[in-house]
This record gives sequence, C-alpha cells and structure tokens, in this order.
Amino acid sequence: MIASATGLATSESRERAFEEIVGRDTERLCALARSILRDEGEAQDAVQETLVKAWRSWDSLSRSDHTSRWLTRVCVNHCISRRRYLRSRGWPPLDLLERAGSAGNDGSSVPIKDVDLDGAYRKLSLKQRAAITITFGHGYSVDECAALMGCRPGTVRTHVARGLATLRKELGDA
Amino acid sequence: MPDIDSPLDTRLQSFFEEIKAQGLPGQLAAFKPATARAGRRMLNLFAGAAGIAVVAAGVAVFAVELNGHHDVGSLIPGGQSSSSSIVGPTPPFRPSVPTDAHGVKVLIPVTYGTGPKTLPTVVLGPNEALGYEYGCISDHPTTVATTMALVANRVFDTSGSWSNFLVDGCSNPKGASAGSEMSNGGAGILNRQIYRPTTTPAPLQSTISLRVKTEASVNWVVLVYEFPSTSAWVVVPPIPTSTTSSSPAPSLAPGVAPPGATVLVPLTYGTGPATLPTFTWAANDMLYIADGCGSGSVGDTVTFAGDNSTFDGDFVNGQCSGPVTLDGGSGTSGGAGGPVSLTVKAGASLKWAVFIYEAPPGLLGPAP
Repeated sequence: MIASATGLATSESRERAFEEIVGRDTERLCALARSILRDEGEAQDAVQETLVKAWRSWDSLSRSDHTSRWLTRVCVNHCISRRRYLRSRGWPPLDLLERAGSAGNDGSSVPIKDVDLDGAYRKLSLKQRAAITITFGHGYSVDECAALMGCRPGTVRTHVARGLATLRKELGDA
Repeated sequence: MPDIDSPLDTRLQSFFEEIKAQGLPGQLAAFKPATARAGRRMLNLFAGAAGIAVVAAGVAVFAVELNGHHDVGSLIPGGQSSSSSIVGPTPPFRPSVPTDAHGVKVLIPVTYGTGPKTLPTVVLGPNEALGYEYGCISDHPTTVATTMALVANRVFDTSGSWSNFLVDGCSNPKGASAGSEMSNGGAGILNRQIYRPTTTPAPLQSTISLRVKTEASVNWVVLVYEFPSTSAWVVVPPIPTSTTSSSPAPSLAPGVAPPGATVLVPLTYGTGPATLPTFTWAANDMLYIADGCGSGSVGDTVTFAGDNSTFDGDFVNGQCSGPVTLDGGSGTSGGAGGPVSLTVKAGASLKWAVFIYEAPPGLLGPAP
C-alpha cells in the first residue's frame, strides 16, 4: 500500500514536471512547426508527436540539461521528414496538397498578411523552410541549425542560400 | 544568422513574427501526459491492428443526389443526424451502421459539413472497437485533386508513429455519378474503416478527439460508432456457400461491379495458394482487382501475380491479420489486352478473396 502511494506520488510529480516543460516549449515548437510546414493540422500533429515522444522518453529526458534542444530537434525532424512519413502511411495526395498550398493559402493554415511572401515561401522545400525558419525566424546560428537538422553547417548554408534565391526570384528580387 | 538583403530580411522577420503570434492551439494547450499514456494503452489494442486497419468493404450502390441536400433524417436507431448548411454538391452517399452489427452505439451521428472541422469528442467504451464512415465531394474537376482525412487526436500506435490518418480522394459530381462503392482510399468513394482491438483487450474507456481535415471547399459527411470488439464483423448479405475454400467462408462482402463494368472473375474465396481462371482483358480497359485476406498474422501477405506480358504486375495485400475484408479494387491501366492468368501466392492457411472487373477508361474515374 505504501509502495502504491509512493508510486502514485512519483507518477504525479513526473507528470507535473513534464507539463512544466510542455508549457514552456510547446508554443515555441508550434510556431516552428507552423513556419516549416505551413499547415495548421500538420503542425499540430508534428508538435503532438514530439510531445508524445518526449513523454515516452521522459525518464531519461528529465535528467538532461538540454530538454528544449531535444524537443526542438525532434520537432524539426518530424517536420522535415513529414512527407516521407505520410507517404509511408498512405497519404498519396500530399504532393497535390503542397501544390495547392504553393499557390497560396489553402485554408489549412492561418492567413499571413504578406500573401506574396507566404506563397513564395511555400514553394521552398521543407529543408529549405526549416533552415530559414531556424536561422532567421528563431535566431539560431548556422551551427546550431545544423545540429537541429542533423546535417552539416555547409548543408544548412546551401539550403538557406537556395531558399532565399527562390524567394527573391518569386518576389521579383524583393 | 546569414546576412540577407534588408527588404527581404524585414519581410521574413515580420512573416515569422506573425506566425509566432498565432499562439497555442487549444488541443495542444490541453495536452496531458496521462492522455498520451491512455492512448498508448488503447493503441496496444489498436497497435496489433495498426497495420490491420480492418477495412470492412462491401460493394454497394448508393443513390446519387447531386447539387442538393440529402434528407438527413437518421437511419440509425437512437442516432441523430446533423447537417450544417453546405453549398455545392452533397456527398452522394449516406453512411450507416451495418444493419446486422450487434451492439452498435452511434458516437457521432451522420454529420454533413464543409471544410476543416473539429468533431465532438467521443468516448470509446471498454472493449469497444471504433467504426468510421466518411466521404467527401467537391467541384474539383478531378477526383484526386481534393482529399479528406478523419484525424484522431490520439496516438493509435505503440510504435511511436501515427496511424490515425484515414484518407480519401474526394469525389466530384462526374466521378460520383459513375457509381459509388465502399472502399478504402478509392476516389469518389464512401469509406468505412474499423479499428478493432485484435491482440490485446481494451479494458478501459478512452476519450478521442476527431477532426476532419480537408480543403475549405470540400463538402463531407461522417458517421462514427462503436461496437463490441469481441463481436464478429458481419456483412450483409450472408456469405455464399459455394466457395473454393474448404474452410468456413470468410466474412466478406459480395462483389458487385459498378454500372458499366464487366465482371471478369466473380467474387471467389479461397485458402492458400491457387490459380485463378484465365480471363481476357479488353484492350485499353481499366482493370480493377478487389482483393482481401485474413486469418493470418501481422506481416502475412497474399499476392495476386500475373504471369505473362499482358499482365505482369503483382497486387499484394498485407492486411491479412484480421477478418477477411475486400478492398475497393486497385485499378491498372489497360494495354494491348489479352488473356490473363493470375496466381494466388499465400500461406497454406491464409484465407483470401478476390473480385476482378474491367471498365472503359474514364468510366470510373482515375485508377485508385
């Protein structure tokens, strides 16, 4: 009985600690996923999947000093591997969705005032979006971005450069 | 941060700031680890079924009503229909619970809507399986240009990944009018999907949030119900007694070809390896092979393999660990035509069923 009560208390404190992390990082993760995916539903799925994965790894994760970085990395990876993942789950029309999305807002994300930029941004690959989002939108360095995306810094620079070139071209050298 | 030119930099900063200001969606704000844990528990049951998402398919013909609203009076005992005011074509089909499924309780009655929508939260009772029926239609000129997914805000899997996407290519008036059938994933089709715990009991009730994910212009209809997971899934009409199987016939819907199609191999049941009767595939016709398998284990497959230049492809069905259900028919483009002899490759005790028909190109819309 005592062991049960102790177990319950441990479980509750575990949940409380987890929820503190959720409260601190979820909004940031959500903004990150929205920026990369430009689809509200997919972004929520990616964040929730990140949180579920975090909960499952919480025993080890809670002892880490780099929880936020871990969450960010998992979320970014979910976002940039979303296409492959969805295809494996029988989501053949994703290309069509992306094509529809590239022409402008497709109704699945909150409209952005700068419609032209949003439309051009949707024409970037997910990795280009991730690299630009992480560096320009969230202030990480190229090295940090490389660590989050699991690639080399040079690859990040390439994604950023090509992404920006596309944006300039689409926006008429804005 | 790499340097970029100032005008684009300014626009990008505003762009990202605007996204950051959108705040936290309620569903994520309400995320509780306890929910995740319950989800895993429930998905233990569903997990066995993760790859098995049993698609109860039957081929059925539905009344087609285009550009008008259906009578949304409930056909479901105890169920209520709801319909929002939708503009444009109404899905040309009406979901209903199986007439001979026992212990069915409607969780979300027949509901029509347009665009993305969060559905009411449902509570799945202990030891209950979940059934969904849904379909969609839009004015897009091609059936595959629009999609609808019924997304469960839960983790239906213990493997760390999601298996809650139930996908459909939406119908359009032209495609739908060619005939409707129940299927999984085909275009212009009403879907029925069942998540049934098969390997682990589901002793606890679970709360599930569902939302319809689709383009803003898509009209859809959905019905969600639960039924005892231990009950056999029975499909009307009764299983034919004349089968090629020496074992009890699998629970299977009968094959009915859509209007205008020609049946090449009537619905045939079997167990283990077999060779199907040779049929002649008309030049340029689309060939549709509806197949199913069951009574096997996760990972078991049945392959319907062609053996000559007329048809040298393989149709592989990997959903053999539950009851046998017939899918809606995978289509393949026609060629020069000619005789086709298909070989069934399956484990000795694996039950299977197949139904093959052909139709002129364009009659049934794009190949699923």
